[in-house]
Amino acid sequence: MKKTTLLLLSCLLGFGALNLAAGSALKDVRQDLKTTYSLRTVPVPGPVLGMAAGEFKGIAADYLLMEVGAFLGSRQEASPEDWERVSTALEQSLMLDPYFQQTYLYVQAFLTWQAKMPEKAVELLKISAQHRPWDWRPPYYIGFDYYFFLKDFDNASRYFLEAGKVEGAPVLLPLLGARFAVKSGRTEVALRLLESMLDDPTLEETERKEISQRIEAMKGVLYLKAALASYKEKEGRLPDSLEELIEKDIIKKTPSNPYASEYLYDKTTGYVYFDEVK
Amino acid sequence: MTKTFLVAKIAFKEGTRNRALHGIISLGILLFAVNIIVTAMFSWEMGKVAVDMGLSVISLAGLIIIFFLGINSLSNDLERRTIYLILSRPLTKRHYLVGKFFGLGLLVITSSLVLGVLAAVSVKIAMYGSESFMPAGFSWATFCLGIIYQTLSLLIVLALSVLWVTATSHPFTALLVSVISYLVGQNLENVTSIISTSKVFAGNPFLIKTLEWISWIFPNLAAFDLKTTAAYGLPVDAAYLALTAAYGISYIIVCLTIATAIFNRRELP
Repeated sequence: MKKTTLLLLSCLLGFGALNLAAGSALKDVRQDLKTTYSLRTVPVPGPVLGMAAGEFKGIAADYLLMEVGAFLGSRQEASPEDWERVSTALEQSLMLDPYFQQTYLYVQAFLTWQAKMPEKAVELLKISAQHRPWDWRPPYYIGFDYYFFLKDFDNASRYFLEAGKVEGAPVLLPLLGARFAVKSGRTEVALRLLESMLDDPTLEETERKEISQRIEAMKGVLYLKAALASYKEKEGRLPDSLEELIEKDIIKKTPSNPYASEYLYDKTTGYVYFDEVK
Repeated sequence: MTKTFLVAKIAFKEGTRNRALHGIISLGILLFAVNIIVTAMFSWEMGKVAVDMGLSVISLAGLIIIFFLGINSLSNDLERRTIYLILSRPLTKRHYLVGKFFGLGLLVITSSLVLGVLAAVSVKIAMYGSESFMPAGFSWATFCLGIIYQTLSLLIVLALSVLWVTATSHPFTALLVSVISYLVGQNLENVTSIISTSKVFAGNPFLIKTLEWISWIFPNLAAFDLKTTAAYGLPVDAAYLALTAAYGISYIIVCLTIATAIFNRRELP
């Protein structure tokens, strides 16, 4: 009995010590090798993945996000192939659960700034925007990506205005949308949206004032654009300055601009702006 | 009816005494502890992850009870011929089969109830101090609704399993066909939708028609899956709930009727 106890005890102590020593050495080796976490993705279409996950789609989506989070948190630099894998994992996660906030925040945070894949980010954000009509952030991010990364002002204005319609969205969004709408020739649409926003009784006084100013500026742009069209029809060319519209008796005076002393005019394109941001 | 309930009571008692059930419940509790750790790994809408995990554990535990405990309980009665002891009393095969379903069903309901309470507790603990990270529309009412419909879905799988035990000669075959039925039930709607909208299969009306027929045979279990609805507190249509409940209950009754008819004709070993 004593012999067996002694044998077991020495086994426990001996192998226990060996395990501790080996474990500690292994940690150092892996540290030296800079062993990094790798992201494994299988390029399976979303519906097929959905079938495999069955009723456990939600936790399967969470698992994929955890993989992405662990991967991004463990590496200093990721290769283009790594970003492709991240993009695939995020897309698959969205296919399994298109509602999750963390997924679209990862998409916006990593696929645009770090992976330089704004088109893919927009594509994925559109899935979130479609499934989260109560959330203004997905359309806002889409608008931002169109404006900042893709220089597509038409779509930027469309999505900023879309985001502005969502309850609780900052009033800045439709104002931004309206600015891009002027640049992309969708002034009337933006004007209608801003006018409808004034009906909201929950608006604060400062917000109401900002919207009213933007409406006034946009109405001025529309008025001048119509005058320019009349001028072109009459003279067969665009005027060199807005003053020529008064000289030719098309308008009595230029409308007031709440943001500057006068409206800005680009005679080569015929565009009229209410501020200097082009 | 009293005779049916007598069998149900015995089946339920027998189930609760089974050590496998204790193992399943312990596994459930362990998974809820994991839920608290996993939820902490997320930064936004962590409540969704907590609810997802909670409801998935309930479903998983229910499926294990049905596939391993339920099918075994029925098959053992037949294999070990203990059914003769029951049928020697003034009980018919119908009393036995329906009673067994009720007993095992009660076991599934109890498991859902116990794990449901534990899931709610784990969600509460996981979200303690981070209540603002719950999805905006989340409500406990939808959470409960998710559990109720999940349990109904489990009862359908149980009824199907009872049917397969009576229709097949070996417990393993019954288990295999039951698992396949469950998988088909979960995915049939998805597959039908993909195939009917895909251009690749447009020229194959036979396949589409076949799938349509299969969809009338196997239950549409995806309809009972309200996990996403519960996790995000998405709006639920009362008419949809009523329709789904009617569909589920009627499916169970049809399954049990066919199972009884087969069992009545079957010669016991």
